[in-house]
Amino acid sequence: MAETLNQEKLLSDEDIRRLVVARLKVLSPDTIISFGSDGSFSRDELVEKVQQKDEIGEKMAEIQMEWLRSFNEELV
Amino acid sequence: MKIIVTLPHYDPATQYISNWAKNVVDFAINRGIDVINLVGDKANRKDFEGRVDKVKPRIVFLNGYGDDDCVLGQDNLILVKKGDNHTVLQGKITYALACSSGAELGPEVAKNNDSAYIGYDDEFCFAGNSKYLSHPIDDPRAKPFMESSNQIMCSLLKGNNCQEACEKSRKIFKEYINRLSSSAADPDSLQDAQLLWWDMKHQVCLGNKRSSIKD
Repeated sequence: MAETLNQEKLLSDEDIRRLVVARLKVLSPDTIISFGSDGSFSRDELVEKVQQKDEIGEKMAEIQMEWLRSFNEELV
Repeated sequence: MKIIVTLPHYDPATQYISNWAKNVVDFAINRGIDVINLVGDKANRKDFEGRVDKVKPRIVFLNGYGDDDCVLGQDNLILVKKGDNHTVLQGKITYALACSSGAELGPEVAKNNDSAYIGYDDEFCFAGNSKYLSHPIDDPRAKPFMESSNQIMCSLLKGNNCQEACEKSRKIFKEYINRLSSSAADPDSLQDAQLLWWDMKHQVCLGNKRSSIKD
């Protein structure tokens, strides 16, 4: 069972964080992303938050995973 | 037909959503609908409850921050909270452009089938360009998020029911997601597509989905 789960989890949490940081770093410097009452953050602040694994950083990783899962779903 | 709109503005995010919500206000006025705006400090619990009680609006459009069990007004103060004053929304169609209130507040409001609640059961995220902080209505990066959201209200005001309004909103979300995700060379577009996908997946339509202004 544990082996099956490992096979299903193709990306580790650290892989996902690296992917999110790489994507964030190429955004235009004027980017701001709002996360409701948690605040609005610049590109560089978001990179830090993902690296620090804080709540907003983990949310960015969750959004990334949701996006990757979207490829299994019909968009139109 | 009357609607109440809350328009708090005290930081970048509330400036963005309230400014873009004004497009909905203009749309409603042009259709001859009576709009009661609670702007800035007026977006507080006392004024909100008083106006809802007096005006008895068919639609309530809440803009602001939120949490699982509440929606906030001006200065992070609670406007509507589950188990406290959520009954103020009963018998109405509510659209909350607020984070997470579709998780607990929405289901509580929509428990009785005389109400409908459209909102988001997790964060509503959006991207923008910091150069537009003083005039967010002109920010092209915010446009896909705000137009997809505003579609809910415009559809309701045209007489569509709640389910139809959500479907039309999802259509706009998908059009933008497809357009932005095909711009593979532009990292901003791909990031924005991801955020739009998130928002669309977390939009919820609760209660009587067939409610409309025609009822």
